[in-house]
Amino acid sequence: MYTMNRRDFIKATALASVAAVAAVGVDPTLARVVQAAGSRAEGGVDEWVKSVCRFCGTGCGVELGITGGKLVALRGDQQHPTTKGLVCAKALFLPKIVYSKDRLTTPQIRNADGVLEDATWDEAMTLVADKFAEAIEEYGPNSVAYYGSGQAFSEESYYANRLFKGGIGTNNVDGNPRLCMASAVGGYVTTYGKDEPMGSYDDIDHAQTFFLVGSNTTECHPVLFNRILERYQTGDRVRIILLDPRKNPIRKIASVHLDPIPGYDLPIFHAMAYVIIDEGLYDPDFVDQHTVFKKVVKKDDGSTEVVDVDFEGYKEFLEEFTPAKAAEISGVPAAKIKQAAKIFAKGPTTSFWTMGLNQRTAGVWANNLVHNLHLLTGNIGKPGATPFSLTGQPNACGGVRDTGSLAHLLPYGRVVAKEAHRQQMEAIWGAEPGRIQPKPGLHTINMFRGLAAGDVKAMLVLCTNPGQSLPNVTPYREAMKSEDSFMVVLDAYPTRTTELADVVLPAAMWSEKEGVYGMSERRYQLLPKLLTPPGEARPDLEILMDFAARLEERGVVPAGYIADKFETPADVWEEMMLASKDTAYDFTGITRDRLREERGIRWPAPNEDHPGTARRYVKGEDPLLDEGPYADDSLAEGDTKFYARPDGRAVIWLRPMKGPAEPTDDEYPYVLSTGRVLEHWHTGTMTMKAPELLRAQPAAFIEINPKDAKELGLRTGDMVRITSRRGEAVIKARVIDTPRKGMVFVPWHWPDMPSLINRVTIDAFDPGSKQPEFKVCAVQLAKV
Amino acid sequence: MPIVGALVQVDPLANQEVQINLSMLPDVTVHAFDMPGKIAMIVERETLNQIHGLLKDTVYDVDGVLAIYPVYTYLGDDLDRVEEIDIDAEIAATVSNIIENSV
Repeated sequence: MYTMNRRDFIKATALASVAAVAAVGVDPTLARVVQAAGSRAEGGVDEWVKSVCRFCGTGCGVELGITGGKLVALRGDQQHPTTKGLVCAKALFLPKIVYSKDRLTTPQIRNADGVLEDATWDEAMTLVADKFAEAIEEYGPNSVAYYGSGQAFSEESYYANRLFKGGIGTNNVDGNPRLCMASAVGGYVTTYGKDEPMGSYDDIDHAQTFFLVGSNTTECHPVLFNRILERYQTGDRVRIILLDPRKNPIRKIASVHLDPIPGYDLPIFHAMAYVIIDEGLYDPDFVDQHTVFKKVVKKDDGSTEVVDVDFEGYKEFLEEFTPAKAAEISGVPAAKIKQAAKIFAKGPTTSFWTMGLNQRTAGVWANNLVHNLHLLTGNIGKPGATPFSLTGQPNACGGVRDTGSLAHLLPYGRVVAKEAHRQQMEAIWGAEPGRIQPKPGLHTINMFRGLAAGDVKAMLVLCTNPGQSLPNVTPYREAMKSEDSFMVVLDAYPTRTTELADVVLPAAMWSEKEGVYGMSERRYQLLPKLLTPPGEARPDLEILMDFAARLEERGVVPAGYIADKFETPADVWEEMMLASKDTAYDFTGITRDRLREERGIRWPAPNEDHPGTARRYVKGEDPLLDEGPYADDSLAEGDTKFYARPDGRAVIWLRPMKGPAEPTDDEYPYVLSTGRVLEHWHTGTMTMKAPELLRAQPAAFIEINPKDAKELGLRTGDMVRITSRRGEAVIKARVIDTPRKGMVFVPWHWPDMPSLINRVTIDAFDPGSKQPEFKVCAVQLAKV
Repeated sequence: MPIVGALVQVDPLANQEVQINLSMLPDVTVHAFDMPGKIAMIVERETLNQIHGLLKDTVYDVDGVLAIYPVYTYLGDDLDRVEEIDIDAEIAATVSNIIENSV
């Protein structure tokens, strides 16, 4: 044996790790170091355990280095099938974030003087249960509400949904995915019949064209961007179309950049379709065999109905959206639109989009129009060809969308409005027949409006921060703070919402509890419990179980309905698998044991031998076309069938032009759009606990185009007052040509009141998805 | 002191130039691969803040750098203790070889 300096050894190990992640054919010398990586000699780490990153919906596999029960190191999991060892800068700081000094460790109750003071768990939970029971008994079940999160574990969301809808008997169950991806859900459901992407990250490796819409993938999903970059670097004439009013970093490698006036991009999609048809670039066979055309018409009595249209009718409709006409509305030159259409049609094309498309009052329609392009060109169901909505939270898909934890949904593609679906879930849950209400509950904005109006008396908020994240947040903050409402908040940190709560319950954090995350490509992954929560903090599921038991004791939830049925997250998972059986989500083969062993499995996976599904709706790849209610033996290998719709065909929608809810005018002449930066995530409750990340991006900023700055007499560093019809913020200027003229951009992470930009944003929402229009509102700017 | 291993994605046409520019940065070890477009760099500084600042403010601004991924992070402060570890001869030779032959 030799001895050597540990520092040098760790440096070499780090190099070896990078080499392995880079997949550059690790040479024998580096391979020896990689081989040694599991040994005790690796820098004092006792054990490496696989897990998943806490942040966005990419679902990066990580390995956590544990020594003496403490998290001391983190590295990308090279065995992870999709992220292959890559992580972004945020993950680097996860160990620090977990051990933040301001973790909540004791339950707190607000006293008569309005001050939160420490309490025992029993005192806090007794008060919470009493308040909810009083509200339900006096005002009925719809006087209470649950507001959840795309960051909660699937078992937590499922359990809360089960408790409120089947136990209490209210559909007032919603969550923050309503703010970020409800329009994507609406797009998938109205086009294909069921939610969730049909493709997977595998498609990146086969695409010739990437259509990136309203997505700053470089900063918001950097590991996925790397995979796109890898594909781009193959030199195989891979093209990128960027559609974004900001010049985000993707522009460096984009073949064409379409930068519409914010809120006026719908004509661009139609114009691309126009060019694709006009130049004979569409796929007539695919259109004929797999699609129908539909539009919504108004009847004389003011009601609406959906009517069928034929291909000629669609062509006629598109005459209103020639590239020249689209250019007039959108501000994007017709030549660029034509160029984008031709590149798109060549394919195989993978589209990725995020909030730029979803956070709009025309969000569902915008989603439909991206799907239209894929359907017209047959760019779907083939390697490299897929329309893919990326998610910003780690478990918005698996935890909230799939478990049906929104006001109109039930688990695994069911909806409250359908009697058969209610009956199925009542049977699975053991709920009284008729306990699940047929009418959707309050969606997010209406839930908080209900709180303000006094209709919602008690609300439970879990793992999210609406006191900062809601649009037009001021009136909702007042409602949360009001003595007329009772609000209990479960969180790991003090936030802009805990400061308004009547009871604050300290929750366990990532790696301090076990649960499943389901990320954007339908992959369910288990995160193990490795650490002990600080102080008296408890896992959210444990708190919900305590809450449920107390509600049963008080008689507002039927005795025996839920409290005694589950003891662990694994128990809940068993019922979830059962609830998915014979649905389009079937994951009865994704057992807890498999999750512990494997690095996630993509549903559908209807039996334990099934490896998971990379591509849905394709015979030979999607197991549901072989067996079960969607099986179709008439199909040949490789055939596509959109089985979630009754006729098996996807819908190409004729959607009219619709602009933003609040266009600019002489009084409010600038468009405000909000977004993110690499270093921070959502309301900053986690990333701002890492001093390094906070120092890197210490304060909010407003990006202003140099032409606008000149007119306003603004320079970088000046303080700017941003005023809308709802409120104002004061933020430091960054003069830069990233936003187009007339548009300003503010990242929304910072919680300090002067720069809390959601005091300015608008709470108008899409009539279909109920998702608010964070991306467009009209503002004034003035130097302070 | 923390140690971070990062994969740097670069424009393949600028590979050599980026290597040289990165290797001139203090506290940075650069390792080039056979495949153009990918460079490994190891950064060791007093604080993670300094490492992050270097990656974000300096490395990202180097012409030809497209993206940076810090795939390995060691946070432990035990490295400040001078500690020798037992290791077999082949690995010792490997490590020495890597350290000495970095760009």
